[in-house]
Amino acid sequence: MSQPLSYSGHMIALDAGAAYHHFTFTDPALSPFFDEVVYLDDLTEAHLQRADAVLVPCRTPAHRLLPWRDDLLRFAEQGGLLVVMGETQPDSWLMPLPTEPVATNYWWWLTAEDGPELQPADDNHDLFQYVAFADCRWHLHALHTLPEGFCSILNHRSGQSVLLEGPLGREGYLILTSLDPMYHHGSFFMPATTAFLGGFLPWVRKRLNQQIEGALQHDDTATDCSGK
Amino acid sequence: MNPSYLMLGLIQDGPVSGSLQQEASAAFIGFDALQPDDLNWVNVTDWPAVIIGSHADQIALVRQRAGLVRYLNQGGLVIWNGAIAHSPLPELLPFVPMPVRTLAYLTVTQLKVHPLFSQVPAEALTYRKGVAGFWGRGHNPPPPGATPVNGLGPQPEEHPVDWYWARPQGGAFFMHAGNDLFTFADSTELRHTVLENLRNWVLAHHNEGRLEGEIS
Repeated sequence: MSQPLSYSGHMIALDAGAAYHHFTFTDPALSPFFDEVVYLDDLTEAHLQRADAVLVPCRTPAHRLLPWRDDLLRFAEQGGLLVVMGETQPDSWLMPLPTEPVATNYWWWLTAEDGPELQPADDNHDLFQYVAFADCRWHLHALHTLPEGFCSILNHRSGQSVLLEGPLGREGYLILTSLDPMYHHGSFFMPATTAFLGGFLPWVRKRLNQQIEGALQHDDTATDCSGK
Repeated sequence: MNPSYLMLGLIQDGPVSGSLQQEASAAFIGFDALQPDDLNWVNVTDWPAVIIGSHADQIALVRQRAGLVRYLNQGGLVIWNGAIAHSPLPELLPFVPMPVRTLAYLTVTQLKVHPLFSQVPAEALTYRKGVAGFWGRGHNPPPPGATPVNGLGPQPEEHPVDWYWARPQGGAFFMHAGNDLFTFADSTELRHTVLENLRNWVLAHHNEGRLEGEIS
């Protein structure tokens, strides 16, 4: 698994105060990827002004994010990278995003015929140089119809996406997933989520490098966002 | 005649789900969603127990610790679910995960008979569909004087996932260092049993005093 040698920019992770968020942010294997962790009630415009990337961890309650909707969109409009993770109801605060909730598939490894139902949208996507596909499989929570201009990284077999990326606004960039690895990792549950974060976060930092370098496509018609 | 509803406060950084409200209602429990700063006015006669959910904003609880202490000093019962990352009281120490999380280390052993687990076998806490770990993956260290209720692994006394602590200054904690105890079970019947036990125990604890409430 290749990783860039150095990371540019300033990434702020938002903290809603749940125990699993803290245990994820303070895990010595993961903490180097967060330049700053900001408790949501302490978030100010100054934080967003100094941030190049803002990460919204899985299971951050949407009612805590809604007051920051305009500021986060402005942050993206000005070239910020926004990383939005699962169970945060982004369709209620970020942007129109067709979302189909799915019953949590707690037992997919016991009922193998159902399977995790996921597949890479493109085997050659550079995320899979960081994350083994097998480590993308734990629970499903929601499926998204791919918005125009975005590309899917992980698909449900229905064709809907659980992990996607693409330009947000004129200058910004969005990475969005309905998966919730931080919740499970920080709850000391589901080893795949630990492995997933170990690759996903360096890949996010690679995207931030690319965003700062102007290497990501911001053309609305762009379909190749593999970063190759 | 149906029993009257027992109203409990629930702090979990979000609304009470319809399914939980419905299941609680069948056990004559009503949940009121509270915010941590509500502890500054919550009255123990109106809410004899306040439940902290495993998704709660613990930083807010730390900042509202004066309200928590105020509620406890009235004789309030706090039922805490989840790992402690941010402790609102000096007696509550951060979560200690099990060093090994294999079946042997996630097996739940009952250390003391407790009314919350009446008609709930330890196996039902250990397994969901044969998978262990849902009940807890570690423990929040108990303060001196706490009573271990359930433990994990081959040395369950050293890993008490559940304990009861009558706070010397007033009030009491029931600590469950895992997923929310009232939603853990797959079976509707088992969830109902736990909710009925919760109602009976909270009422006994409130009406008869904490020591009597501990007698099964």
